[in-house]
Amino acid sequence: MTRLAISERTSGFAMREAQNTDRGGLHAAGRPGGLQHAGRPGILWALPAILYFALFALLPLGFAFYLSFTYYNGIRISPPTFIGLDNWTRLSSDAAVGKSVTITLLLVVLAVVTQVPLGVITGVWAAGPQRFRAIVVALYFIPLLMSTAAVSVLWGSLLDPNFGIPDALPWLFGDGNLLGRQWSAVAVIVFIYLWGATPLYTLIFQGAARQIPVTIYQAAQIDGAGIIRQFFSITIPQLRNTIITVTILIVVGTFTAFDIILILTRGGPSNGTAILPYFMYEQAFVAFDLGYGSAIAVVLVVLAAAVSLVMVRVTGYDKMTGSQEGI
Amino acid sequence: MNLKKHSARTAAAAAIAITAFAVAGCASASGGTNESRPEGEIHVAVYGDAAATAEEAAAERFNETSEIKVVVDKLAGDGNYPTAVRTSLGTANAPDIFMSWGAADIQQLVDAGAVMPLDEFIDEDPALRDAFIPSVFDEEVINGEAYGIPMRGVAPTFLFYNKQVLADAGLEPAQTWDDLLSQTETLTQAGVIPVALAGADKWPTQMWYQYAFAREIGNDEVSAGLAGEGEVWASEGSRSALDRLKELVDAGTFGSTFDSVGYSNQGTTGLLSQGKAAYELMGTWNYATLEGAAPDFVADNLGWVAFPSLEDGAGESGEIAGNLSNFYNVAADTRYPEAARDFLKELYSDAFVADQIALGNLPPTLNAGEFIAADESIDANKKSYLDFVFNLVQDAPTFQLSWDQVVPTASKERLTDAIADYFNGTIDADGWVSQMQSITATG
Repeated sequence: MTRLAISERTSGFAMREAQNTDRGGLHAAGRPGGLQHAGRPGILWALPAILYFALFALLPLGFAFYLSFTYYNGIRISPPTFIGLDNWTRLSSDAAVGKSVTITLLLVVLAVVTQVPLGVITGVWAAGPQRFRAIVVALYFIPLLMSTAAVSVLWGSLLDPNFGIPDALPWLFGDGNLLGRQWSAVAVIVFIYLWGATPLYTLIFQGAARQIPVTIYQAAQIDGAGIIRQFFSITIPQLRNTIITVTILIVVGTFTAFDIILILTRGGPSNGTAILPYFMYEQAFVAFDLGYGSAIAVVLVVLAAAVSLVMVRVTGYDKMTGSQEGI
Repeated sequence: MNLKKHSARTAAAAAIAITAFAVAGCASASGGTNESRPEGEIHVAVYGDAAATAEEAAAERFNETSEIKVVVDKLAGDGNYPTAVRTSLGTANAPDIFMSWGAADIQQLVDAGAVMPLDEFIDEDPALRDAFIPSVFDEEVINGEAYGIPMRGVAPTFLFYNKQVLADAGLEPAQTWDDLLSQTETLTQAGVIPVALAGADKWPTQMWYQYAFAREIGNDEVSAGLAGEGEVWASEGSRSALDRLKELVDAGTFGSTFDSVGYSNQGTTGLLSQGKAAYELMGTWNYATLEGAAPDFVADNLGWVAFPSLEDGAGESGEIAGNLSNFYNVAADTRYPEAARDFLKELYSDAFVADQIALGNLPPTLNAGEFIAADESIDANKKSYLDFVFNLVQDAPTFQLSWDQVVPTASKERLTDAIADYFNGTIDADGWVSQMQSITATG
């Protein structure tokens, strides 16, 4: 879209006006001026959230880091013993870790490339004025109401090769050994995520799509742009920030996904779906090697943080500006 | 709400938090005094599945006469039970009495001094040992000291079959390994999966190895191999057992989709009870599972038979494998050891034995046979079933505990992985042998 210089100036002027008013108010109250301080809550306001985060995220993370240098089998009366870098050297030579990282990244990529497009398409459609749209959308949102554990159990039965969907549709599923081969087991997990998580993103995209001023579409129509052209030239650019937000949500969510894999495949077949969180669980709570499990947990945190940081940088999320500036 | 992300994160955070608080709490709990434990009561952590009712009833009977009361803490009857017990030991919230699966399961607890040796109790009341089947009782005797009292059903594995399916195919229950192989063809042609196998759960696959090896090399050799004699796994008999298993897999004995079939979601239960499969190799508890899912099938068409023999194998035909029993252990820092001892006596009481039988379990007590014969509250079908299991155990020259209960906890997952991987072709016999050697070497 070409920005209209005049309206940009207008909105810029309106903003300055607002700032001026605000500043005036603050000065009257005898507090320091400037936009930085304009009616914004101080650190005190953030304290509950910070405390919560420190207690339930940073503190356990710190302990996990500490435990990764110890041997600990979970029995309190034989406390963790310091073993230096043993867990870390073991980690670096453990082929299962590399395999697990690969599967985790594969699953993240597959989740993004399936969930974002479907979310955009359904969200934009759901933002429209069609008849019966509300009913269809309501039905579509049902997976959001169900717990993932219940969903996993349900799909476990639905995918049973002898009694489930594969048995009814042999032309599509062959012998139905979906969870017995790595590629099909991964496909099944990606599909269930798609089915279960996309409605949330649809909701977000629906809200975002409704924010796009209808006047832009009207202008485009006058210029002779068809529906497809409008979608790619107006809708997608206007949803850019939402797409970035949703992508980060999906990435972080998939990195820590665990429950479907625990219930549906238990990391199988032959550890073909053993993503990092599951691998961590197996080491810490099946083998009761909490030190090694903690080392894997730290790797997971670092990996997820690194990917999120890169995404934030590459997409310009940290410098995000309004997509409707100038409209 | 994106539940997948949220709950997974919460679980991960909780897991780490538990660990963190466990560590943080060490300082305060390390005094080891039991004064901080609840006064006037002992806590029993009951594994909360269908069989828990017998233990709850035992607690009620105990409380009628005892001044120190037993409090039943019913924990979820799933894989989290050992974690819950383990992380609470040494705290004021720890159970006084809890359940375990065998020596390997409690080895780390014994090493840490968290469980109490029961020899003094046994000296005071020898029935705590003598009332039980010796081979079962001895499982939790570690370095000459007894740590656990058997309490749940003895659970060997054997073949369950669908009478109707076999009759329709004109077959008799397999008596020999060759029968199994030849019936595979007949049953496959009849459109039936010869053997239902819940490969997705991995541990059911392990049962086939246990019998292939028991028949080929005998349980004594298996036991030596699990204890660390690596050459057992590389031996000719071991190779032959692996070849036989592969032969069954390749012949289609388990169908082609066994890795997608589960036991916990009743995948195999459906196959057997609805006539889509002829056999299933499973433990004693399968009767109750089948009865819950398909009572009519159990009454009319469920058959059971000992695992087929192998003529040229080195093992004896009566050797069996499975789970010996579960055991109750006592926390080392219990405040009321006498009350704990007295509660353990309930485990060989007539009422407890009768309750176990009513549940369809074979009690691990020597008098179980008489009780089954005398019990009039159970139906004839269940009676003949329990009779069969009792005799199977009585006549067995050896009873090998499930392999994954023998190897150290840390190696359990690797063992079941190796077992599943050889079945689905991810690793070959050489790969399996070296895996087993490496897993058992640490034991």
